[in-house]
Amino acid sequence: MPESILNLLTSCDAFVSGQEISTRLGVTRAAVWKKISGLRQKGFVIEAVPSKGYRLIRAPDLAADYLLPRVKGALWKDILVRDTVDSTNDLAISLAAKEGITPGTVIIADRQKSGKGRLGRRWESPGGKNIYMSMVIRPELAPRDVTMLTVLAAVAGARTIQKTGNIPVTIKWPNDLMLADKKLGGILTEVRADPDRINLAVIGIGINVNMRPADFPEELRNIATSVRSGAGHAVARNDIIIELLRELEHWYGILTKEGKKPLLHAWRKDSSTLGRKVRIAIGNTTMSGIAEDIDDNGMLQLKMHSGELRNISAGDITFLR
Amino acid sequence: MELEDLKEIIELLKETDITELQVEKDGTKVKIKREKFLQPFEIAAQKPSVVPVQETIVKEIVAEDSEQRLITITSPIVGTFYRAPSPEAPSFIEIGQRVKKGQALCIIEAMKLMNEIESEADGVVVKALVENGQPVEYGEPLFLIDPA
Repeated sequence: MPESILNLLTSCDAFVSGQEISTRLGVTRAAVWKKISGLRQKGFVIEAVPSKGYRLIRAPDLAADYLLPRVKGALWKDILVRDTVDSTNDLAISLAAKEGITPGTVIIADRQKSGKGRLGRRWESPGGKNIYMSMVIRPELAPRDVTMLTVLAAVAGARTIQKTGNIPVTIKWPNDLMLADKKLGGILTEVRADPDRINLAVIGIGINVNMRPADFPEELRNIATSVRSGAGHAVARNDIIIELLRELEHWYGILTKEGKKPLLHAWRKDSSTLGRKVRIAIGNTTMSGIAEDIDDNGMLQLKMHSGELRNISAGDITFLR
Repeated sequence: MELEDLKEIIELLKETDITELQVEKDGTKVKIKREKFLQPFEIAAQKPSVVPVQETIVKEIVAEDSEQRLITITSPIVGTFYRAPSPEAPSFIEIGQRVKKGQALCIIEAMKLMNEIESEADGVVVKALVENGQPVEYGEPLFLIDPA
């Protein structure tokens, strides 16, 4: 398969001469120039210096042909970018069901019409600012350990934003990404598992990247924040996506090779929940206590006033102090 | 009196016990008489006295016959059981409903991970064994499916 000009340009950040490109691609210098022009029209910023050649300065936001070569490997196989979708998770699930897309496919959208959270709740998803992505994997995990995917996504998400935004993001059980007790990112995983195996897992992540406070609907302004608000400047979505996919691959490798312990340890380290007094709403009931620890599948151990420890598998947490 | 008026009167009568009605309007006299046994209402009212016995018998036969072949759907994870995708949405399935293999029956949630449980076979959902919003254990039975 012939190499693409973009692979040559993105494989190193240095200049690549026109002669080298024409040799490697087996096309004339004039054809090289034409391809460069085509990329520029797509939004790629490419520097051209007469005696040095070409250098990629910046890729357009959410360009699959820029992102994929930087993350493709053992876990990630393909990236699909869409302008507008109903929900990246729904699209991922329906594509997986109908077309049997490869595990390792990442679906990214600029905007979601009905981005969703837990139990049909809405995830605010305007275009041009944030990251909405869903990753299809077929994890090598026992079904009873499937909740480790939540732990995995939380740790990878928190580390990614700590690095790319240089801000102290923490995890609120089980996997909300928080900055100073305001929500910056959410993760919703959907799986199809039977008692014997996990057939499919779709990890959906929404990150508020370049939202300004005024961009949030009023009811969210006091409880939501963005990478931009924390970092004090805009951060490129491409950079966060690349880092996130690398972090996910890194921690997935650790989980499957070394087991659950290192991942649970990393979760505890980034948690802003443990040790705090919390109230948990589970369906119509609520209970409160101290968020003592998580068990070896990431379930919350709530220490009740009686001293009894209760394992919580799902619920909404409110911090009481 | 228009034909439409007549139709309306007849329709109205069907919903009542009235078997005979006489109407006079603008000099026209209309008498409507309905034979009792033709009334759907009457037929429905007679049914319960006979049918329940039959139903019970049928049910018992089915239960005896199918006890061994009922398929139990179990939970693959520890979590919370939901009959519907969101609190406002209708349930995935109702008891007595026929389902296809692979059709969604419920969701088990654990740590923001939603596990949609599918039917393992074509059949009729005979029973739900867990109530909506309740915690379930690994391997806990959720539904009984009659694969008939």
